[in-house]
Amino acid sequence: MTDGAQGCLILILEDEPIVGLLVEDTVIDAGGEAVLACSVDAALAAIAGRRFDGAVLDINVNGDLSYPVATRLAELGVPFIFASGYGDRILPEEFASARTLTKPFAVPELQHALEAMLAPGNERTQDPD
Amino acid sequence: MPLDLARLPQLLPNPYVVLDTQLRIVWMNEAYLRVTMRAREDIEGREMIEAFPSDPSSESHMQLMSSLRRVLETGEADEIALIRYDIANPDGQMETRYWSATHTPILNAEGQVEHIIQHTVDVTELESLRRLRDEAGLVDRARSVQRRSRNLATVIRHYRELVEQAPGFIAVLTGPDHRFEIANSAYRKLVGRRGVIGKSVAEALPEVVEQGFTDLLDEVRATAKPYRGTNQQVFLGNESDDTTNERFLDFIYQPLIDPANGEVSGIFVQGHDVTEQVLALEHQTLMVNELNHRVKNTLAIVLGLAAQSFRSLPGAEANVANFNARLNALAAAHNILTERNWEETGSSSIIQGSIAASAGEDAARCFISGDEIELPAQNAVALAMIVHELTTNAIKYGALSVPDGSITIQSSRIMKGDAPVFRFVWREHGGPPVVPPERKGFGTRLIRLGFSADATSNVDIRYDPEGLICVIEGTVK
Repeated sequence: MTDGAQGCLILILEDEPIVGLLVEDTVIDAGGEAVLACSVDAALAAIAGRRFDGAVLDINVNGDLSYPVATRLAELGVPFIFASGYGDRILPEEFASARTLTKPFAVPELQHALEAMLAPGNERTQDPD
Repeated sequence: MPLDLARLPQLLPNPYVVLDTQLRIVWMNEAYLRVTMRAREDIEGREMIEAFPSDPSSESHMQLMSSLRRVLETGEADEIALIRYDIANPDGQMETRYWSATHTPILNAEGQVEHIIQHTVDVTELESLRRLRDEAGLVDRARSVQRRSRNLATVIRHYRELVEQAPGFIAVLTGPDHRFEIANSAYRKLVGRRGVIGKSVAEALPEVVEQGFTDLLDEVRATAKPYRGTNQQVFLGNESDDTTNERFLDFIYQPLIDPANGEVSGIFVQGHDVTEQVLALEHQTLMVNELNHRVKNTLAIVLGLAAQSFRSLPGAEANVANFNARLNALAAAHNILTERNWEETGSSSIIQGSIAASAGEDAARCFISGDEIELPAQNAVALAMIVHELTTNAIKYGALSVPDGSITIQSSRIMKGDAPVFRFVWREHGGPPVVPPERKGFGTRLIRLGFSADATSNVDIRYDPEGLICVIEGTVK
């Protein structure tokens, strides 16, 4: 068991409850706390109310793309990773450098990705332009 | 006294006869009966060819029938400048007669031919006079000119109909501003049935100028080199409203060279509409991507279920990890197959993908060589799972369990008798001494099944102390 997410608050945007639970458990096992949102609107509302340390975003959430959430997180300087079943989906240019976990992912891969995301110095800052 | 218009045709000095579309005589005037030496009841209601019989192989017969048929087919008037058509006199003897005839169609409201009026003039005396005077030469020549021009007209009409009815679209553009000289039915349909003949492309189809098509035509004209468009997108308007339609076309702009001066005189446009095919292909790609997405989501759910189900089971972690790894290997193979639309997939991309999914950075110590063999989807998935089991075993017990170990993998196509066989050789080097396992685990059993669904694979696992060797030979497809 890792403790890479010790004391961190993580937003999970995932429309598939079982996958959401898996991510949530992984975050809790790593010492963090998780908020599970099942829609883009719910995720945006959660961001408006609390300060998150990181996020795991499904790309296609009930047919909506999660890019608005990613944009908002980037503005706030919150690091995030995408998790998607679209292996060949090309991310929009502004997210081209974002880390993507390809579904199905195993717990160790997720733990690794969470640690990398929460590593110091990984806070996303808004581009000056 | 008022003029009786109804009686007028009967009184006209010129002979007239009216035929229906079966070429039956339905009406004639007095002058016609006089000139043909017949009574109304003899010929009314009978087919013309029956009323005035002639040898079907004679030129007279063919000349008359083909003129009447042309009127039926084209709906246009037809003339026979001179025809010899002999008729029987009241004594039953055949008399030589020369005629000049005009066949005029009577169209109904739909523009279809309902009747034909024949106006015929007996020119026998004229012909006899000429014959005497010219000793037959002039009239024969006139007759042969008529015959030739008739043939030419037939050929031209034949080709015009071919072009008009061709299933692909055809147009001929002439002049520096590309004016429409010909546009067939398929072309007119493509551009929304607008009248284009005589107009330049820019006038007739203004919407294509910005899309670069007039530039392409200019270039074909300037370089005399054809341009070929494949699945080319175009937005075309129509005559009924302001909307445009997206179409995809396969076409060619072929320069027409004037043989007199070698310059481009025009451009031949020919092609067909492939919109349905392009859209079907796009739709299929979308469906395959969506299906793949759902399969992967389902695999993610299965992984989540496994993690949830076994998390409180003591000692289950290693088993869950094995399970996760196998499911991931399967997902990796699916990824590659989806990229290839579930068609044949190269053996080395399958091997590489599976090792990368299972071994991570250690994949750099696996060297793949040999032939690229195209494998059907089912064999490809089986191969991916075999490579995953071999890789996992190598990580736990074999060459990848020590820092200096390596693996060579060779694939080749060999012949066994007449049948081509895919041969796969996995050879480990530099690992700890190999000891045969005491019992066959799932991995070994999976490998022993080989990669052919019909179980014709030949599998040889050798626990060579230097390193494990696995050779699999199997017919694929």
